[in-house]
Amino acid sequence: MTWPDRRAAERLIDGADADTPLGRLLAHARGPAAPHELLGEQQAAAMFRAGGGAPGSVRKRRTLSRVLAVKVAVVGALLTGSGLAVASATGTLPLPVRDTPRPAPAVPPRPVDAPTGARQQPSPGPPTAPPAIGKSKGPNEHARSPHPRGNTAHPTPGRKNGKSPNPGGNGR
Amino acid sequence: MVEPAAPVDLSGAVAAAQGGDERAFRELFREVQPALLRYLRGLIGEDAEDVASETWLQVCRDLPRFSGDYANFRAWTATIARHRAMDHVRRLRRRPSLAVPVETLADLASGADTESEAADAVATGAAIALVASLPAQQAEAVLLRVVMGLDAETVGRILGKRPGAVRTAAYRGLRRLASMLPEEPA
Repeated sequence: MTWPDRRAAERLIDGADADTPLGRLLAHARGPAAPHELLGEQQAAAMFRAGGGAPGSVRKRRTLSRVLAVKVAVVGALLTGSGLAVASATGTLPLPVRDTPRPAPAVPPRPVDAPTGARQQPSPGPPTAPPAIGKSKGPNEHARSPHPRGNTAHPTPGRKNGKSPNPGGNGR
Repeated sequence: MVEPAAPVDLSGAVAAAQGGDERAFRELFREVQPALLRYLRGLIGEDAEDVASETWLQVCRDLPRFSGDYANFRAWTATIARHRAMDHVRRLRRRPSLAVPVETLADLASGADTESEAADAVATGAAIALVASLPAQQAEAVLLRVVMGLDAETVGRILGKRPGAVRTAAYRGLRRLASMLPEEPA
C-alpha cells in the first residue's frame, strides 16, 4: 500500500483521480444530496421562523411581554389594593397582550451556551482543548496545538485549487 | 460515476437569511445539510439526524450574530455540529459506530451501477460508513476535508490542530481506505 502519497492524497481530497477506487469512494462521500437527507427542511424552517430571522426578535418579544405584564400587574395592584396581583401577573398568568401567533419551535429553545462565552462572536469557537470524539488516539496524532490560531470565529474559506466557494462573497 | 458537486457560493443567501429571509435560509439548508448529516453520521452514526437538528436550532438562534461569507458559514455550522456531537457522545458515554455494508464496497469501488438515485444513496452511505471505520482522528479529518469541503487550515481551527497535523491525519486515512478497497480491475 504505497498509494496515495501525501501529494496524491491532497489531490484526491480536491477531487482528482476520480477514476480510481479511492477517488470513486470520495466522490460518493461528497455526492449530491439524496431526498432523505433533506427531510428536516420544514423543521429547520420552523426553527428559523421561531428563533432566527430578524435580529433579536425572540428576545425583544419576550422583553416586551414582560414589561407589559408588569404594567398590567401594577394597574391590577392599584385597583385591588393587593400585592397578590403583582406576584401572579409577573410570572405565570396568561398574558393578555401577545403579538401575532407564530409556529412554535419544533424543539424547545436552549439556554445560550456558547463555549467561548464571547457574546459578540458567533458561537462556538473551536474548543481550546478539543476532546477527541470516541476512540483513543493514535500515537502520533495527539493534538499538538491546543490553541487554534487566527480568528476562530471566522474560519478562512474552503479548499484550494479554485474548488472553494468564492470567499469574496460576490455572488455565484 | 458521481461528479463532484460544482462549488457554489451562497454568501448572498447567508446575508439574506441574516436579514430574516426564509427562502435564503432554506437554500442554505439544502446546500449544507447533506454534508453536515454525513459528517455527523461519520462521527456519531444513527443519531446524526437528531444532532443535525440541534445544530440547526443553534444556527438559527445565533445567525444574527454570525459574520462571514458562505465558506465561513459552512465552517461555522461544522463547528456547531461538532460541539453538539460531542455533547451527544458524552451523554451516551461511547462512540456509536456505523455498520459497513461490505457487499456494497466492491460495487462502490468499481463504479458499477450507480446510475439511480437509490444506488447513489446506498453508495454514499457505504462510503461514509467506511470513512467512519477509520481511527477517529483520521475519520474526522477526511470527513471535514472531503465531505464538508473545508481546507486544512480551517479544519485545523475546528479541531484545534495544526494544518500539517490535519493533512497527515487525512493522508493516513486515505491510505488506509485505499488498502480496504478492492484493487483496481486490470
